[in-house]
Amino acid sequence: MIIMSRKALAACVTNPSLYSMLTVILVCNLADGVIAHDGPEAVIASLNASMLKSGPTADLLFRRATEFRAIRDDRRAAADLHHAVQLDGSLEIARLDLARLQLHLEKAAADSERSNSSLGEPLETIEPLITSQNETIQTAALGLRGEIYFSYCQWEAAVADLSSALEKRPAEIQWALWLATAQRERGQQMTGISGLRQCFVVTQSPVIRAALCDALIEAARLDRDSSGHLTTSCLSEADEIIAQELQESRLKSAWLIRRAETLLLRSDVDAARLDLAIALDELNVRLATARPDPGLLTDRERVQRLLR
Amino acid sequence: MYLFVFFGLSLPLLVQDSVASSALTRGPYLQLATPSSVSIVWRTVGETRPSVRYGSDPKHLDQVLEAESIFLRTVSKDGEPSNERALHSAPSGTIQYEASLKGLEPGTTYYYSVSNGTVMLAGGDDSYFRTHPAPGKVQPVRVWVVGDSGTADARQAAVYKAMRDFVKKQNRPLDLYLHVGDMAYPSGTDDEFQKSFFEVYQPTLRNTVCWPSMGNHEGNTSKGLLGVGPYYDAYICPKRAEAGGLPSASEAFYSFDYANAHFICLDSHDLDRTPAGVMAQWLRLDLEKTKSDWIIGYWHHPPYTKGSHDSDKEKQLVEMRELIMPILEAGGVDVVLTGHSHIYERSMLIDGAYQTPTTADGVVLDDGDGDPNGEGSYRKSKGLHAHQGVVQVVTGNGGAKVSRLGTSPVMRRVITEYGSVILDIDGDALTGVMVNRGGVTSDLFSIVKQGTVMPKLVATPRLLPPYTVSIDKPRVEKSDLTPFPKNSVELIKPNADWEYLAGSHPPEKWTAVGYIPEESVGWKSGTVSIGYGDSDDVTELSDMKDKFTVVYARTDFELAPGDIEKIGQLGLSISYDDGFIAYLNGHEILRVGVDSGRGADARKIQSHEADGYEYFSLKDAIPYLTTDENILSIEGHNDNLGSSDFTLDPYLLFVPKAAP
Repeated sequence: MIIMSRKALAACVTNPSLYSMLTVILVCNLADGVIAHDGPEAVIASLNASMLKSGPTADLLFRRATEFRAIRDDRRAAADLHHAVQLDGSLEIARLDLARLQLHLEKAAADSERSNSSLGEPLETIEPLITSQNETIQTAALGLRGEIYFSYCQWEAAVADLSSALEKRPAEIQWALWLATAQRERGQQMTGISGLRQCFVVTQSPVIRAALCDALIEAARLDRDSSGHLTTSCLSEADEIIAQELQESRLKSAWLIRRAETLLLRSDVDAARLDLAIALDELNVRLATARPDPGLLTDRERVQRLLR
Repeated sequence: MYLFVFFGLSLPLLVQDSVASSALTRGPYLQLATPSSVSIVWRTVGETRPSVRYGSDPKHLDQVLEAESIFLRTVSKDGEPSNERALHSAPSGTIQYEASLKGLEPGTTYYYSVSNGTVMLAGGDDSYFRTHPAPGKVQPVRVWVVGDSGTADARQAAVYKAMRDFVKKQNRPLDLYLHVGDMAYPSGTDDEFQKSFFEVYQPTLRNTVCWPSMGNHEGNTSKGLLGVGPYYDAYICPKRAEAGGLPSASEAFYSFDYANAHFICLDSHDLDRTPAGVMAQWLRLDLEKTKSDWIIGYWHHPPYTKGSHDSDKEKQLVEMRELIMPILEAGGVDVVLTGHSHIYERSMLIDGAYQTPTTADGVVLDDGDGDPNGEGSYRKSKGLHAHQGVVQVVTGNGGAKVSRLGTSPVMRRVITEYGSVILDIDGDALTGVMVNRGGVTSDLFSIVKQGTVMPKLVATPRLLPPYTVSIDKPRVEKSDLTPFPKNSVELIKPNADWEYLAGSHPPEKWTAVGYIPEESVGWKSGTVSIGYGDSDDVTELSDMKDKFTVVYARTDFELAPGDIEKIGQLGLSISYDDGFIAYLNGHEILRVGVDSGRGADARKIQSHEADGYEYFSLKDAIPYLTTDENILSIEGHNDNLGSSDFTLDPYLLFVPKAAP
């Protein structure tokens, strides 16, 4: 967690370049009496003592918010960040953190009933940073606002912000994934696929490659459903990826499931069922624990859905 | 160091080294080795014409990488557009050189030198590297693992020396060096990296690659999401699977292969740890693809610890356990190495221990000690298999003050000693030892992967006894004899752990910061109060009466930059029986009830009963305070051998300066 002083922030404003901004990230001075390696509770106790003595300052509140987050007390952390931003409106890092935390809290509280009204608080917090003179802050703010819109299914706005953010940082995998999803939701599957291809060229990320493969299969399915016949260009590209990954992978279930999906699109049910059965066997071994990896559980649900 | 001058390709000529070495401000050190390449990194202040000479014969470096092929990085000047490879921070005029040597043979030793024009800046017999073996090749691998080392003090130095002595004695050098974070206290600045990392470990760094993971202290100045900061200036980590594994597109988390082992580094500090996050998705894919015989994960925040941190309470620790460990264990991980908690803890063979709070019920596959000479090595099936068990190692004991909160139920060993870990992988066996700062092997465990093993949960695993600091004594109150200042803050807490020596006398320098209280000469760790009689002591010295009259105790505390200026008043609160002398960083600062002399030569001890904490101002001691590590030492004296009791129960206070 970074902590910035007024002096550091002033330097940021005068030198807004992306990397030089971080040269002025404050070297964290500990609160009065805090031993450098104490656990969070001890640091909070010491910060409390400091605030009792000299009153709350933006710096102390920011530090305490960091410790509250370490002990998973996000509401208190948000309250401290909010207070810090009120005391010092120029604390852009704190504002960015606050918006991120507000989004997290909103999502946790109202995951099942998202609505436009929930957007208000984090959007309001992030808004001043969109015009920040600091390029790092501005790009991060655009990405975060894109995430907020994405989280609340505001696809058009999400696409606009995430595209802008990615122009400045094209190797940001998470933004590329959100952007492709938002574009698909807007019916721009091929634009999303194109973006994933570009991101893969830049990063060689296997995460992007897997997402690209899924997007290609999904595009083929949508095309078949709308046109009534199966076009093969997307599927061929997916086939190539899948074949290579199956050849190279030790654990193959995720790619077997993808191959089964392509086989089902081609109505080759028997071959698909064979792949799914092998995938299920592998998954069951990996899921043999009381609290398994949710990613593997999702894969198993996918198998069971396809087997139906 | 020797300085050579090159004349074309002629043999080197020995000359004085003073001019050239003054230009070299960091390194050279190795980074990002692969079977066919390695990066050599160094810094100078001021421009040079860099080149690297290398070859398999140290006396005949017959290959040259010229300046045109060496990447230069500098700090952007104010007003200049920055670029992705600009240094985040460095002293004025610093140039960082990154030379990537390519087209090398796997598993081959090369010697190298770096030069400025015709003047050699560094080289010689210690400047060598060994390329990684061909992927999958089975050969012995030795790995040094250290965490939370960045104190730049005697403890860090002792841990490092102990490792080097151990390696030298066995005549088996390191192949890899893993750092599990917190390598530059307190904030991971460039200057702190220089003092706490590069200057300390240079003898190793020049011939062994350090593969780092970022700690929370580096996180004060470096950001994983952006990949910028002094941490990212210092290291070149794989983003595109240059050394095996899968591309992560980030230097914050990555993987690489060495021989038959696959190493995975994660960022537990400041990246999304959720199962759908990019790091977790990449981890899943990386595990699915590796075909190495061993998988070793490492990062900073431990999933299981009750050292100086509590893995049941702190977010990063809880999330690494609940969210990341299920992915790793489903992928067949064998060993997890972490730090953050300043202690050495090593688990039994466990699987599925993801719940909070951690319990040993239904998660222990082997509750033995894992020692091949004891209860036997842990056994797993040959190859990689899901859920056959992992050994968790917390080695945050590389320099920062060790301490303990309790006992994590899954641990087999909990050792509150400074030290580091050496892993040896030899075909189907992996052995880990913790070498303490005295050079003693404090723990040894082994995993053997042979045949087919059917993992079976231990119904009622044997657990370590619960750790209790038996402060079940009546709480010591403040005495009415001396007024305590208002608004005081504790620098050393009451009932803290101190190192103490009872029954013998230390050397004269025992109060100095650089002195190391070795267990081998009788130093122990105990919670104050220390003493006997009156039933008021936490650490009982049952053998003191009639045998000795002096007890020596010392502990450390740390001050961050700027903290000293905030201190208005320093004071010692102490409950004592009978007299004592206090020292700060080697300077005597207070003497109570001891007329003259020190230690064995102390004279005229006045009788005094411990009757609550008394306050003594230490106003003259403030000039002796230093930023970072400070040592408070106290020798406690009994007035006679046959005394019925003895007590030494101190803590340290300060009163902040009033706001102007």
